[in-house]
Amino acid sequence: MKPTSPEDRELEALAADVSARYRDASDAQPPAHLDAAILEAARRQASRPRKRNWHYPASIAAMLVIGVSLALLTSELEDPLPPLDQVAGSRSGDAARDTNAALESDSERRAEPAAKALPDTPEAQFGRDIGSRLSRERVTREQAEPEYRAAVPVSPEQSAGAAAPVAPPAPAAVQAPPPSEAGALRKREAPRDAELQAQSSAESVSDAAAAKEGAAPADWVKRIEALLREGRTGEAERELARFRQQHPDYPLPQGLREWSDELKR
Amino acid sequence: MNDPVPDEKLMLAYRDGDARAFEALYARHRGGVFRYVLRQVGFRSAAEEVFQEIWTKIIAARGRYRVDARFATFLYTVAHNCVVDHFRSRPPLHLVSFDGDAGDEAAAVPGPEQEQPERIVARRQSAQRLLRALALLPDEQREAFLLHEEGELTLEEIAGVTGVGRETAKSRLRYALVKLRQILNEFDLRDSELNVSGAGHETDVA
Repeated sequence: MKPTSPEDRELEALAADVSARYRDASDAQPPAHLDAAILEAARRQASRPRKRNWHYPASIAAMLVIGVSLALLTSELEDPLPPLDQVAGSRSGDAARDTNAALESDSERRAEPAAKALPDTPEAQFGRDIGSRLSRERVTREQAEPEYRAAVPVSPEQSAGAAAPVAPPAPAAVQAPPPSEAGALRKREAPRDAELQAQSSAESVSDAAAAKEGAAPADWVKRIEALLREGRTGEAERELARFRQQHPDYPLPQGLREWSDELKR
Repeated sequence: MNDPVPDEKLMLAYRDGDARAFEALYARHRGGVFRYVLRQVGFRSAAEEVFQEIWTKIIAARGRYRVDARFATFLYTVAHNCVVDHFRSRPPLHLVSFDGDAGDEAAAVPGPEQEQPERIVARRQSAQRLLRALALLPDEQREAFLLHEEGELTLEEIAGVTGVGRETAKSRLRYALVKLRQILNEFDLRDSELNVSGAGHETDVA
């Protein structure tokens, strides 16, 4: 004990006196057989190869394995963030795609209930009949006048319908207009008809409804025919009534005229 | 004059497979550790058991020994823990058992060959009284004294082994020394009175 303070030195002096007396009084030793047993155990232990301290290397290796595994797993789960301009570009593209998808699904939603709700009602059945009659009238015209076909772009559905064997021949009551009138009508109708084909049927009708008041009578008639082909007879009837209010003297196509007459009856 | 090999080097040599290094180490510390245990446990048989356990642990710790502190500190830390474990399993019975062992040990205290029988008896009585006084000390004070005497540990090392602060260790050691000194002084006083009366008796006889 190294005395560092007066107190420690005093303690050391006190201990020196007592220590000498204690060492005189106490000389107990372990028994010889215990010495022999302990030394024998020590020799046995020394003859064995020393156990290497494997805990530290093993723990470091385990930590490395776990760390690398976690890093790999994390990198697989999380893609690095793209640059901001890419994010903006992809977002605008996504937004455009989302908008298109929403519009498509919306138009499908609007078209489907109309198509599904109508078949059961007699009115809808009547509308479909009129629509088919109008289609047949067009087929007749196309057969009679090849120019008409060339001017009118035909959709796949229409061409399939036209080629279908169920299409009966044009009835005798369906009469073509005089050649001069037919030519003028054809010239008027061809681009308008093509325009109509390009539009989505239901949406184009509803979108054009706002502008129908100022539209040409022929366009209006085409829209009414389109409504009938889609089986939307109620709308077609209302449109026809409005059309008649504004153009009471405008000659209707025969199919539409017959349908109008049947409505009046 | 060659300096003795430090304990730490001997233990490192034993760690590396040198059994003779352990023998040297054991020879240095066997008495101190045994007395440290005996003074605390009280029974010789129990002390032998604890003593063997201490050295078995030192041998088992051979492979992972590192020189973080003095070897004596390491050794007496193991001894302290073994004694604590012993008392956990068997409560101490100092007052009942110590007299016999202390008396035996005091009776075995050697003296000068030509010493007079009265002096021999006086020395034995002094040793017996000192050991009994030591046994009557509080456990903490006794342990601090034994670590200082048998292990030759410093106050800091005593504090480290017993898990207390330096000032606490110092206070314990101081109280232990003061009490033992008082007891020894009383004995010295009686011894001197005995000598005076003995001398008077001899004078009378003479």
